[in-house]
Amino acid sequence: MEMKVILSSDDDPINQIKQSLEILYKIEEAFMKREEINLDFSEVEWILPCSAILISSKIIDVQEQGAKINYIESKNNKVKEYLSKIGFPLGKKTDGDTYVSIKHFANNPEDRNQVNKESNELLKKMKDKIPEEFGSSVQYILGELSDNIDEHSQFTFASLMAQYYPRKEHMDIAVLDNGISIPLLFEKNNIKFNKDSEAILKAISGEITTKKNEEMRGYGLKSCKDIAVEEINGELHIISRNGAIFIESKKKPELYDFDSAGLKGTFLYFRLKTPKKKVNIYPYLEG
Amino acid sequence: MVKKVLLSNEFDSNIFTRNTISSFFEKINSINNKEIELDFSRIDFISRSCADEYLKRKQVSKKKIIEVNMSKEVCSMFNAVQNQYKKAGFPISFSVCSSEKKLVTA
Repeated sequence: MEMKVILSSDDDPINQIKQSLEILYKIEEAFMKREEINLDFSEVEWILPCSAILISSKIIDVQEQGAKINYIESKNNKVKEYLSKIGFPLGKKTDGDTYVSIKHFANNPEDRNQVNKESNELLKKMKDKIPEEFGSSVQYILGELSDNIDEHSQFTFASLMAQYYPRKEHMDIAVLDNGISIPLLFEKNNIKFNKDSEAILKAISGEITTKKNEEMRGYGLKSCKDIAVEEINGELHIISRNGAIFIESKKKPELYDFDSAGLKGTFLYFRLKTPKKKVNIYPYLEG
Repeated sequence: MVKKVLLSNEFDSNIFTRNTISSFFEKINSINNKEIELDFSRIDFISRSCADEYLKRKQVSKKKIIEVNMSKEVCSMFNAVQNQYKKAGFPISFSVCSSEKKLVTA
């Protein structure tokens, strides 16, 4: 099956995320029909880490199940070089001056420290790429996301990537897991919601915890959102199962629900603008 | 006799996941020494979730646990979590660092 990859060439993650989810859906469809997939990147003029992570993890997912996927590279040399540098689609150990290349890792249930180790590795690679104005905000966000994946998602496979854009002065961080998703986690814990997007909204409200008889939990995503959006004036995009939320500073969250092109698992994408002064995360953590 | 533990050997320089704290406390609770000194030098950062887990695990541990060489960053996180407890009326009857004024004391 020929599959033309169409990604908008503007810099808005929302458009590329939606387009990538369509591609994931088509890959899944072709895979279910046991068709060979020819993924055509020839017209791609610009690719963001959100698309790189979403598409690469889907490729690995179906390849591991026996699918045959061929690629047609982009005619645009910059895109072609960039995808090669960041290790698309299989991931790469080495990194560049401004990016941490795609990292995929499979869950090892025997090792309770695995997510902590992987997150430490990622942070070490990111450390010299993060301007000091970010303070400890990136460590904080990475820490809470890692803990969410480790504690709640029952993932078997996770993917990470980060890219700093010095001229545009922002950093994009992408974290994806193929776990049970926020809506399914809520269903399993009898937390009521109407649509998947509403479940995500509840998860970032800080008022819901799925751990019974445990006080002071459920703040992780809320505090990440508060720091990223309010303190850093950034953006947060969350896709979980068939729901999506896009949050920007000083704007109401935009909620979407997909009929078909959802996601198996949860995807978080942060766009953090380089702060003018050093970020202090602690006022956001006291509830 | 006091057992001394260098935490960077256990966690690397950042402590991110509750699971690592849980397994660490299972380990130190099973050793024979009644008093344990935890050396936080070379720990750059602890996540809010881990600071929360640490305080809860410490509270129920039968060991006498003493923290040393805690950085300002790590101390700030413990203080933020303890202030959160205080606001929510959640009792924690000890403090882990004392380099800042905002601290819940015994």
